[in-house]
Amino acid sequence: MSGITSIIEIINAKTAEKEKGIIEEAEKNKQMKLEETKRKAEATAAAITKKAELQANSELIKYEASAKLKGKYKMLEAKDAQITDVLTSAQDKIEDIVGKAEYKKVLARLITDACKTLADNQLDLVLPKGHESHVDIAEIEKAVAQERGKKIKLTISKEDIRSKGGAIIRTTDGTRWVDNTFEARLERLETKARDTIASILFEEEDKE
Amino acid sequence: MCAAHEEMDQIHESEVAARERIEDAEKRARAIRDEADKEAKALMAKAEHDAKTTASKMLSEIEGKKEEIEAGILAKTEQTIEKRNKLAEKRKDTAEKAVYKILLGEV
Repeated sequence: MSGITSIIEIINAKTAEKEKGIIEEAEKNKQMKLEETKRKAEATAAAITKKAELQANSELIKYEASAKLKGKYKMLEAKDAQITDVLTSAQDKIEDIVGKAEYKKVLARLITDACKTLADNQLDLVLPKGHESHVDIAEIEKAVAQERGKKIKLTISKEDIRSKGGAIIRTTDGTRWVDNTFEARLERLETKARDTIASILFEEEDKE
Repeated sequence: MCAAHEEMDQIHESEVAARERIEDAEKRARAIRDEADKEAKALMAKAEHDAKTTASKMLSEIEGKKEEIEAGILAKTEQTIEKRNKLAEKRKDTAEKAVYKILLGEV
């Protein structure tokens, strides 16, 4: 081999080596870039799906809570319907006693209780139209006097009230009164009545 | 003298050819880099697209799950109401009597 051939071969060999190095470096960089991108892509995809998963779970939790609340309202509505049913039925029963012997006793008790509350010696009774015949004034006066230890004078007012039953008992100057008509008592005692009904109808199950 | 010239020319030509080969290799390396950028971009875009499709599917699937949840809770509520109504029915008479007494001042 001549000297020149040898030089040219050296140049070619070095060129080939450099050429190979350039390409190998580029391929290596490509590989690294793609691996890095793959890692980033996986992380990005995981973040997107994780976010969606959290959003879906949170929506489902909220929805479940809202559905449970709806169920509770439905349950309360059903309970309320039962309570109202009992209350209406009791009211009907109460209204049904008007005119019967029991009404006389009920009226006497309502008037007597009011007399004790007002604690006055002279009181007026305001009754629904036609209910005067159900009141035995002397008997009530006697009962109140016995409980108070003091005589009392009751007068049936010429006025009447629009009511299914009961009476308004008031002082003669009209400054104080007890409204013991059925309607007024229901209004005053409705909460207590509803609570009582609820405790009888549902207490055992509510404890569970 | 002539032979020496010729040899120098040959070396020069070899060097020129070598430079060209290197330039060509660098060109190919640039192409490889560009190709890598392109592939990386496509890889990322595909991963994002696939993940978004999965996410969207996941979110649309919850509508069905919502209906399932609602139906389950509703059925349970109806069952409880029915059970309670049956028990309440047996106690209505007692409750009515108690309210009667309250409203008429017997208690």
